Amino acid sequence: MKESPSPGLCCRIEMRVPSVTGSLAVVRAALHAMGGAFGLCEADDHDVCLAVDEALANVIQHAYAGQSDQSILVAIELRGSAGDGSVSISIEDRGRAVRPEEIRGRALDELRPGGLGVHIIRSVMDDVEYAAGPEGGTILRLGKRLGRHGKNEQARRADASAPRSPTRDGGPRQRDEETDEGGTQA
Amino acid sequence: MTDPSAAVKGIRSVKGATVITLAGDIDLHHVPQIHPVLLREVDKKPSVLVIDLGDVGYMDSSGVGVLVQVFQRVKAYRGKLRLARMGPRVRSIFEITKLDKYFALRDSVEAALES
Repeated sequence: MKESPSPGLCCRIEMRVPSVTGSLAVVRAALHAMGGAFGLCEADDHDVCLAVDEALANVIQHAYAGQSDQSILVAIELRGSAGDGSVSISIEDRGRAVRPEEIRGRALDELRPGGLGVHIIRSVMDDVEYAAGPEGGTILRLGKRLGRHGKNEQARRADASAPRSPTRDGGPRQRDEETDEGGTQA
Repeated sequence: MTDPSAAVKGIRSVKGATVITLAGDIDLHHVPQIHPVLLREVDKKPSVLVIDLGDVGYMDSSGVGVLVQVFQRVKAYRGKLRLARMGPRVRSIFEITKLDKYFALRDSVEAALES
């Protein structure tokens, strides 16, 4: 693992991107650049990109329901060092707020497309919290400790498959992407 | 980082099998382009369908969803689907979602064609 440019450094970037699927590659590229400069290991870099990508896809598909004239605010903050630091992410939309009773998790013991995005986010991030936005919509906050890939990380990921209590993810509301449409999402 | 554009790079017949080569980043943006091509080949019901993922640098859950659908359709007509040359980034999402146990993963296209 490369050393961070300066121990204790705090780097923050904010991006406001349109609510279109083409934004996914743009945000991933920015995250790769930031992670590379910070010295993130390959696994952490991938985890962060995957979580943000799945969260953005969720907003585009479900919160905005395909409306392409909206925007999403993405903020990423890296603190400490790549080997012993943390990343905090917030993803804010002003789309349709989803009521908890409208959504549900997705069991992994069945083979079918759809509904895997939130499971993936929970698997690769340590903290996942949904909150109501100040002007409507939802703010998703994600957190992860860096430099922990190894046996312990594998165990933690396995644990992410276990059923969750409502309080573990905090927040008054949750959004999931459970769908029976099949086809283009998992 | 790989080329963020994704595409069906090639489709060929080898020893009676169909080999589809995908490339780039397979995300929600590119899945609508790849999805119909894959399903069109599945509709031809090849006995063995190999999807070469060696040039795919990134895949999200939408890409996984397409492969799950392909798997289900191939299984329905009793064909065989094999995924070849899956890189570590792509493999990780299959492991996270525990889908790796359903798919036949092979290190090379040649190995996928053999068994």
